[in-house]
Amino acid sequence: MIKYIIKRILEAIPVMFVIITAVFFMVRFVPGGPFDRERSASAETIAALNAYYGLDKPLFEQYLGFLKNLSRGELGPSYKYEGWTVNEILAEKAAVSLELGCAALVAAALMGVLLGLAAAAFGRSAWGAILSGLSLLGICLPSFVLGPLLILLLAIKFRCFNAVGWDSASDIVLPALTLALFYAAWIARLMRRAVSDELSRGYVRTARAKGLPPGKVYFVHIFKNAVQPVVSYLGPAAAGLLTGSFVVETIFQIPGLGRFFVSSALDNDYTMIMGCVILYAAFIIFFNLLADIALAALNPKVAKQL
Amino acid sequence: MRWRIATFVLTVAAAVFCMLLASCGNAEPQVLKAAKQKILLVGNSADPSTLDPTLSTGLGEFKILSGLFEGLVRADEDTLRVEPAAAESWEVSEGGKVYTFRLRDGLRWSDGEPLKASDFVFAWRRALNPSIGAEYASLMYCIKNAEAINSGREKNLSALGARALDSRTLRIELEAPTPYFLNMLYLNIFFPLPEHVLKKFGAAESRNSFWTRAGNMVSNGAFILSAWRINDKVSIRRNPLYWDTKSIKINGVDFFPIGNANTEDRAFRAGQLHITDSVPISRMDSIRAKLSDCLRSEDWLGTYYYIFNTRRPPFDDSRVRRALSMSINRGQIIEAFLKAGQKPAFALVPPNCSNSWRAGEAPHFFENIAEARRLLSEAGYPEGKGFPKFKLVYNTSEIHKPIAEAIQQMWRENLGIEAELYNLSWPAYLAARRAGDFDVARSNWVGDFDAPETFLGLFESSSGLSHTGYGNPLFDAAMAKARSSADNAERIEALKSAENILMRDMPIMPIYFYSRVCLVSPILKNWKSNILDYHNYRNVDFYISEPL
Repeated sequence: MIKYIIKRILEAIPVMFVIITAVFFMVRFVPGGPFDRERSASAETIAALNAYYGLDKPLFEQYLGFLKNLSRGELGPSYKYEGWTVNEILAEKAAVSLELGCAALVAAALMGVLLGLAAAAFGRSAWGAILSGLSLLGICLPSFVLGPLLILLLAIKFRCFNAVGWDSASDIVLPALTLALFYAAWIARLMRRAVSDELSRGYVRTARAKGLPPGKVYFVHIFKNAVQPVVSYLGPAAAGLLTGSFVVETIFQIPGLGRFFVSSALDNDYTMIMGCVILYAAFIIFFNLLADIALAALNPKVAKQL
Repeated sequence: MRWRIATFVLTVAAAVFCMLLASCGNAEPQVLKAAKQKILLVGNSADPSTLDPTLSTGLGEFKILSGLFEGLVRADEDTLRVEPAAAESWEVSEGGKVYTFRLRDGLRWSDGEPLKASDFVFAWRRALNPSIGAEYASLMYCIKNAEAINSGREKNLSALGARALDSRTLRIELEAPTPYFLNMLYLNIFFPLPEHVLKKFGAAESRNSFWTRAGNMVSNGAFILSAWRINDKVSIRRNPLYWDTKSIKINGVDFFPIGNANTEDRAFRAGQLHITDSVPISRMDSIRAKLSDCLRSEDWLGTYYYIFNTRRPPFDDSRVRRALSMSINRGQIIEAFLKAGQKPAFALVPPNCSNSWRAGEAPHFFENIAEARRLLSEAGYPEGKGFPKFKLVYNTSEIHKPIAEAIQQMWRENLGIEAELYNLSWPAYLAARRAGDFDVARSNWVGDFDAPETFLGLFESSSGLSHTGYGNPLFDAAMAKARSSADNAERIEALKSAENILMRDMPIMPIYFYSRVCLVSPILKNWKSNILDYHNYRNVDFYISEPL
């Protein structure tokens, strides 16, 4: 198992390297530069700025310099936020996104698994249909509709929560819910499908025939098998949730990572783009690995193959 | 059995959901809580990218910096009339070319250090130092040798025409009498800087330093920086060492960089903001109906226009440019897409500039489709025949796109010519404009200070900011005359003739003059507005007076 983890981590290194290199050169082909402003007047000013940040050097030299800094864990100064380094901005924003993402992930997993179990238990009855209809609605309802709806109802109409911001503890509820609902709906569908499949398996019939309490059959034997597709789905879902969402952060004015993915690209803030991409890639690799390990723990058959 | 399990599972799910909602309560809105503590909550569009007065370029940053720092003068928030601030008095001599400012006695920085005249000199030299690359340094070019220093021709920073005669006297020598010089002195690039602090953080000759962080920053204005969280908020709080802190009624301001108008609108309706920066256009009608007591429409010193690439045929012909400009319906565009009291523009300089620019004079041109057709046919394109397809470039925005589409349609119907629309991202749009890769491009200008020069100066051959390729020696001569004249009436005449020349040549097609709409909470007292959206927070107060 440990050998497997080390192997996966070693495999990740060339992947990261390719991503970093590709993005580093790609962003340089985007028209415009980081210091293009409506009024940035003189060529001297731009030249001074480029010289200051070393952007006047040959591209390959800049690339080597970037790799050298990266090997020390330094991403360099942000070109947009004067006097801030990418490291400190990302660290501050990642903390926010992590908090929000974890809340959303837990909520999504709980709601999804419970709803999926319920829907499968109801089977083809009317309740089952209603529950799967609900989960379909959750998938179809985009966050830019759901978010404002929740705000309208719970923040403006009933004043239960703040409409925007990231100040008091309760500010996490609405954005986490908005983020979670889509994932919860997916998980519910995955779960329902998996449980229905398991219900018709031979071991379920055997267990029941042997007189096992039905609750134990359902929650222990079936659940353990049925939850596997959900676990493997949770890996990429976690990476997506924990790195923030542009839409949800914009709707709720949350100072998370998601908005930097978009704004840094629009601002041509090269170092910030690199920071965001590296972080996101690392998250995806890490959570996929975590999901695989969790699967192995759940299923000895998978563990044997590692 | 399965039913019981299902019911159980559903109950658990419902319980979890209810627990999530359990924190509900009918709490007091933030606006009231803040008002009791005398804290103003302001929606402030873009996130500030720097709080260094030398380097800042944005309006949102200007609003914060005007609270943190105080220049030699300030402006009245209503009329923009210049008032003494850090300087208690000044004299103008040598035909308007020398200003001698006398600073108030006992001025101090927020860390208790005395504020000296040399702090201004230090700040201005820093702004002009070419290695700092301050984007607004050109605003200082009216000061003697400023341009030479900024362009690197003059290496000696002390050649700048600004000198501290003693700790309270500042003598400024100008290149030419500049009647609007005082109107620029309340802009952030002219603020003093605490030399001792900048040196401590290595910021004297560097853009990148930590001196602007909360806790590090030392300022001389009514407020000090208490928190700066990127993409979240900037908080400023009362500076007890400010010389006139008794006159300031509020204890601080929280600025929220809410760039999205819909998000801001919801924040206002949920009671989280006293003032918004804008209003979503799509909600304009509903806001007019329901929140009319909060809605404010204010004039703004700005013009929205299209630029022509005068280097490329057929736009090198002024008849073509005039024809295009005369054949659109500006009123219709405002009515359909803007809805906020903007006015059709038939000139570059907004009529609210310098109180009443060109008041009572005839417009430079009229909308006249027949005349436009005649001009186009005179230029060799009768009914648009033979007119090449051309490239109209604009940047992504919910306003620029429908306006461009409407204008495309108007040109097609009225002149029989065909524009191809190119919607570009902001950097790509700037790059296209700079490279001249367009025939017609959307543009706009918001005045930096209240004088026609801030607009007209763009179109001097030496400016390079208009991106039109336009240059006319007559225009340049008129501008030069305005610059060198010590007599204000003569200057105004010269500027008017410059604008006449510009509008005859028409390298731009003016579309509308800006106005801003925002929502202002009714508990706010004395929130003033002006065409520069300049605020020093001296007047504002709340109708709730007792602090908790």
